[in-house]
Amino acid sequence: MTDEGERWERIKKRDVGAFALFYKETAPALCSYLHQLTGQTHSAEDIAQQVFTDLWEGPNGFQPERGSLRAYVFGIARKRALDWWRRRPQTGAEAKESAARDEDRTPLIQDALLRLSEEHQTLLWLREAEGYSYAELAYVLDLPLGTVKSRLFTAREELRKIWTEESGRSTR
Amino acid sequence: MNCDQMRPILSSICDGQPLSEEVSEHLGTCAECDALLKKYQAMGSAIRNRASSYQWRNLQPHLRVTRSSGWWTTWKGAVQIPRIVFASMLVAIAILSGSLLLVRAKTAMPEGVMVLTQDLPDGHTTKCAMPVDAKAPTEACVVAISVKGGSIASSTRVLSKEGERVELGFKAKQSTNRISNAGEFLADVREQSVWVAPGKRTRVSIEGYGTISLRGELFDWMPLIPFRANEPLKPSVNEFRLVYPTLVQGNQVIYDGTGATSIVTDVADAAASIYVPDQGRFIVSTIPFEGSVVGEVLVSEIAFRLDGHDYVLYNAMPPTLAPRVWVRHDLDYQSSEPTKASIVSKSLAELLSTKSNH
Repeated sequence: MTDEGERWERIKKRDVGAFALFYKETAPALCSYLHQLTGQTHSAEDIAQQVFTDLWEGPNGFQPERGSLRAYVFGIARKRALDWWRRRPQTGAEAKESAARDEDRTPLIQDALLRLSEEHQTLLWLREAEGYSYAELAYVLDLPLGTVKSRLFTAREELRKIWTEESGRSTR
Repeated sequence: MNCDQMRPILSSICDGQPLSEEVSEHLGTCAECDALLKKYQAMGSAIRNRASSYQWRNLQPHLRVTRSSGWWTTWKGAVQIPRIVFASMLVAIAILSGSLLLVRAKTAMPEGVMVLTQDLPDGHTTKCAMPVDAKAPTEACVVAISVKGGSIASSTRVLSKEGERVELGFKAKQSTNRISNAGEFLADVREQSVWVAPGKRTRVSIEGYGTISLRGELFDWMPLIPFRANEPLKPSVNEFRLVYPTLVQGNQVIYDGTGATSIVTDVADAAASIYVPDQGRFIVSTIPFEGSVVGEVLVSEIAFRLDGHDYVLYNAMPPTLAPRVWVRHDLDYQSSEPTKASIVSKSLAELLSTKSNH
């Protein structure tokens, strides 16, 4: 059995130590990713909390042969973040604006990322900040492996254009 | 190979894909493609910096004060739990799947939570936290406290909500003796309907006792400590707080204190005791005492080793400002209610003077 498979089996058997270790290894990065998607610390931590709580309460659905447990958790978190967006009373654009205002000093890159589609944000964040492989990205985003590479290129191009535009505006 | 064909390849280079000889040659001679590659790399670097700065910022424990606005006190302005504390809470909660209400409290109560304060004529104050459900009466909050000349018991439940006003079912009765079971004691007392409204006191007359003043406050989360709803995350000097404590020996929960809270303040030898049936009591003190071992405090966890076992005491809030505590296990301790687990926070001197009564 792989290390991931073994870890999963231990969590399924309600091994507190295995779960706590997985939490400590994964939660900071997950919160960071969710913060990027939601723009709000509280919401990011609420979603992360729910993801881990659900994982502990009902450990099922993960298939070790399809990818890592970490990628599986990021995939669930992404769906939860999308639900969070849908449940918000504001329109997507308004919500994104308010999310960007959640912090007093929002760095330029975050502004630029927030203007991308959620899929492009997720691709770039998980690739650049988390170092996810194409296979892991395909698992998290439920995309064919061959599509990941081209989507990453599209996301980079889109970000580059926005970033260049934002940088120009901020230096004027 | 032209520049348009190069662009997707430059993106894949950032993902660690190998460079072919042809691509290397083009990059060496094309300033535009070289600049684009550097741009992609700079974007990746900025994202990584953003991710690391976010993690650094949030690992710093910080507090936010509660901000009340009229009737409601909102979650957003309340104490923010640093992630490291949240981690401890989550692990504790994970052990106790029955405690999941704690993490879900915020979203599971759309009508809010009422913290009702009862001010008694002799200056005593007691508080209850009750979820508000506009459609159905909620479970009653029943308390008994010692007052001058005996004890008083009260029972309060939320009956309905109309706009800003909340209807309560309230009953209370005094006894000249200690009340051991407030629910039974109040069984024959008629419940009266009273309304509480924001910023107003509602007075209820209790026959033979006097007037109890009720005031309510609505929260959009369930306060961990109902009688100290705005409790800051940071403990005070000379304070020891047990809030939903969970004592774990190895991988086994030996005490589940979900919902239990005991706080002692303003004593230089602040301490607490956890009594576990068949296991005696564990005294945790902020000062050393005879027969104790040192325990390390990590924000809201206390780790110690006793009798060859590793223990962790998980608390929903940092229990003390002290970086370490002293712990002793009194296996032979006799409780007045030997089958009932319990906690109490007191001065160490008081705890040590009680050899058989928790």
